[in-house]
Amino acid sequence: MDPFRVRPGVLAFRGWRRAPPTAINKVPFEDRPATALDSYPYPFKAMNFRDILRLGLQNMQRRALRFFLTTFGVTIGVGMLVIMMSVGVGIQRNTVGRLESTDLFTSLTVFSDVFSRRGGPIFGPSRRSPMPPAGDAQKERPALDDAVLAQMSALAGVRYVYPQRNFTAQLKRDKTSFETMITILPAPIVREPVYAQSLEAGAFFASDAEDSIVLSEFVAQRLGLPAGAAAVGQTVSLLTLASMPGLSPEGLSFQQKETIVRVAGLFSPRRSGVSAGLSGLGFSGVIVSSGLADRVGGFQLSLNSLFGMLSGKKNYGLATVRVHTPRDLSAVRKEIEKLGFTTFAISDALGRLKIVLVILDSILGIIGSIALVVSLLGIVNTMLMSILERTREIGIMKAIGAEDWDIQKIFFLEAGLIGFIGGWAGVGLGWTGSRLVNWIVNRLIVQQGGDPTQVLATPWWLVLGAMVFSIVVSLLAGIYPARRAARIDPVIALRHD
Amino acid sequence: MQDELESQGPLIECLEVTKLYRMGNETIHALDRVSFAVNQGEFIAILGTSGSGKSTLLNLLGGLDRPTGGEVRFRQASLAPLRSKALAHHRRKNVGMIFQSFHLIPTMTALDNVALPMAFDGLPLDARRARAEALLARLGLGGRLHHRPPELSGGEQQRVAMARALANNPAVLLADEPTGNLDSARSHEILQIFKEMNEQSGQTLLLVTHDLEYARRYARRFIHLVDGKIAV
Repeated sequence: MDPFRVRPGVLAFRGWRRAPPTAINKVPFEDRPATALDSYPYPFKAMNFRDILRLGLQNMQRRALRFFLTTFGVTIGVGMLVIMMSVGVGIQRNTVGRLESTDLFTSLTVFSDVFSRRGGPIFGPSRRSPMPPAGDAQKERPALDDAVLAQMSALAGVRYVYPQRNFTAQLKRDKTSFETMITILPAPIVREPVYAQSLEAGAFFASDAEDSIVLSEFVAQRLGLPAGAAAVGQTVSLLTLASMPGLSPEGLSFQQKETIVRVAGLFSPRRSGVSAGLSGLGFSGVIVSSGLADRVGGFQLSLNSLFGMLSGKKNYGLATVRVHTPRDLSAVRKEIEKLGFTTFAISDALGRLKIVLVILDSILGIIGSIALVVSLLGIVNTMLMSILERTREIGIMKAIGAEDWDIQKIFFLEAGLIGFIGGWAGVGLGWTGSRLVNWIVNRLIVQQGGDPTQVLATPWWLVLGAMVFSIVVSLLAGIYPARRAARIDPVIALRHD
Repeated sequence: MQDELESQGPLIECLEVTKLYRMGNETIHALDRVSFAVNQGEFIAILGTSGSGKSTLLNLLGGLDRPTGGEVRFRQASLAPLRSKALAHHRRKNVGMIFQSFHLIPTMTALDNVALPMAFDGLPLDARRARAEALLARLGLGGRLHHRPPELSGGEQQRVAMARALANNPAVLLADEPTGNLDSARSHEILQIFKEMNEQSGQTLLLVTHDLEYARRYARRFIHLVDGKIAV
C-alpha cells in the first residue's frame, strides 16, 4: 500500500466545534461505515476520587501560605456568621422562647361582654372578635356562668376552666389586721403542677370542704407568722362582709362574719415565674378554695357581681381557659368566640415581638453573611491566581490525557477543601467566641447580683447549618475558576515556555 | 481485535489536513492539505525548518488540536467527530507525546510524573507505581525515582518524559523536537533509545526535528514539510 496515498475530497467538519467556517469545511462528510473509534468503550474509566484529593492536597501544600490565608478568611466569615446567629438565637431564647416555655401559650382569658359593649375589656379586644356594631347592642349577651364554663371545659383540647374571682376581706391575727384582696381558686384546679411549683411550704387545700387558706410569704410575714414551714397549721381569722340573700326593703343588706381558717401553705409567685399571673397567683397574696369563699359569703366588689346579685343570675367577669398544647389554642378560641365571648391570648401580643425578632435575626444574618461573601471572593481570587500559575501544568495534564472534567474536579475539590477546613475552623471560632462572650457577660451579671443566663446560644442546628452552608457556598465559589481551568487550550498552554 | 484492526490498514492517516491561523487580518496556512499515512511499526522523521508546521501537525495527530479542514484518522476512524472527552481518551490511550522542553510537572517526583497518565485512566495507585517504576528502570532511571525534575539533568528529564509517554502503552509515540534542549551526547542517547524501542518492540514513532543528520541516522522514513506542505 502506498503510504502517501491521497483520497481527494475526504474532508471532515462534523463535530468540530471550534473550527472556523472556511470554504473547505463546506464539503460534505464522506459516508463511511462505523469503525472502532466511533464506538469508544463508554463510559471511560475515570480518575478516582482519592487521586483527585491527592492532587488537590499536593497543590494546597505547594502554596501553603496562600491557602492558609484564604482558609483563614473563610474561618473568620463563618465564625462571624455563627456568632451573629448565636446573638439572634440568644435573644430569641431570652425573650419569646422563655415566655413560650411557660404556660402562657396554653392560656386564654374569656371576658363576659356584659359591660364591654363599647369600651371592651381592660386588655383590649381580641383582633379576632371585633367589637360588634352599636346596632347589635340589643342582642342578648350570654352570661359567663357555671353552665357556660362547663360547656367550655367540654371542648376538645381544653384542660380546665375556672372563673377568675376575688373578693376583699380582712385578715386578722392577734393584734394585726389588714384588708386584702383574696383570690378564689377551685380545689381541683390547684392540683395542676404550676401551683405545686410555686409552693414554699405546706400544700394547697385538698378539697372545697377544708377551711384552709394559702398565703404568700409576704402576707404571712405581715401577719407576723413564723417563716417557712413553721407557719403551716397556724390559724388566722377571716373577716368578711356577707350579703344577705335577696333584697330587703332597705336595699342590699350585709353582715360581718368571722371565720377561723388554717394556714395550709405558703407560696411565692416568683417560683412559677410568668405563669403566676395567669394562674391567679400573682394577683393577690391570699388564696382560698371556692367552697370556703361560698361559705364565708365573700362579697366581690365588682359591678358584675352586684348586677348578678340584683338579677339573681351568676355571671363571672373573667374566666381562664387552659388548653393542653399551644396548638389547641386557636381551635378552642374559635369555639369560645362562637359562644359570643371575647377572648385574649398572650400570643396576640407576642406576635409583634416575634416579627421584630425575625427582622433582628435577618439583620444579624446579613451582617454575618457579608463577612462570608468577602471570604468567598477570596476563594475565587485564590483559585484564579492558582490557575494562572498552573496554566502550563493544566496544559501538560490535558496533553497526557486528562479530561476537561478531571481538571474541573481538581479545582473544584480545592475550593471545596478550603470551604470545608475554613468552615470547621469557623464553626469552632464562632462557638468559642460565643462561649467567651457568655462567660464575660455572665461575670458582669453575677457581679450585679443577677442570675447567669445564656446570652449567646449556639444550638447544634446552627453548627451543622454553618458547616454545610460554608461548603456549599465555597463549592459555588469554585465553579467559575474550575470551569475556566477546564477550558484552557492545551496547545496555547504548552506554548508558554 | 487489535490484530484485526492492524491488518486493516495504516495506524494513522492524514487526509488533506489543513490548519489555518488568523493573525489579525492575515490568514496563515500552518498546514496546507497535508496527506500521508503511518503504518504500524514505522519510525518516521518529520523534517522542516521552524514555522513549517511540524509541531502543528503533531498536535493534530495527538488530538490536542483539531484541523481546520481535512481529516486525521486513527486506525481508520476519524478524530473529527470525537467530543473533548473521547479526544482526551485518545490522547491518554493511543498516543504518547514527548516535547522539546520535557513538560514535566516540576512539583512531582519522577515516579509521580510517570504515574499521572495512568491516574487519569483510573488505574489504582499500586499498579501505577509498579508500572512507572518498571518503565523508569528500563530507561536507566531506577535510582532517580523520587527526584523532582529540577534535580534531574536534561537528558534524565527527557527520559522521564519518555517513560510518561509510554505509561498507558500507546500505539504511537509523538516526539516534538525531543533533543532540542539537549547537547549532542544526550541527543544521541535519547534517539538511540527511540531506535531500540522501534527495532525491538516495534513501537511506532513519529519524530519531529529540524536536524537532518539525526533524522538520517535514526529514522527510516522522512517527511519534509516546507511552509505547511509536504515537499517531495
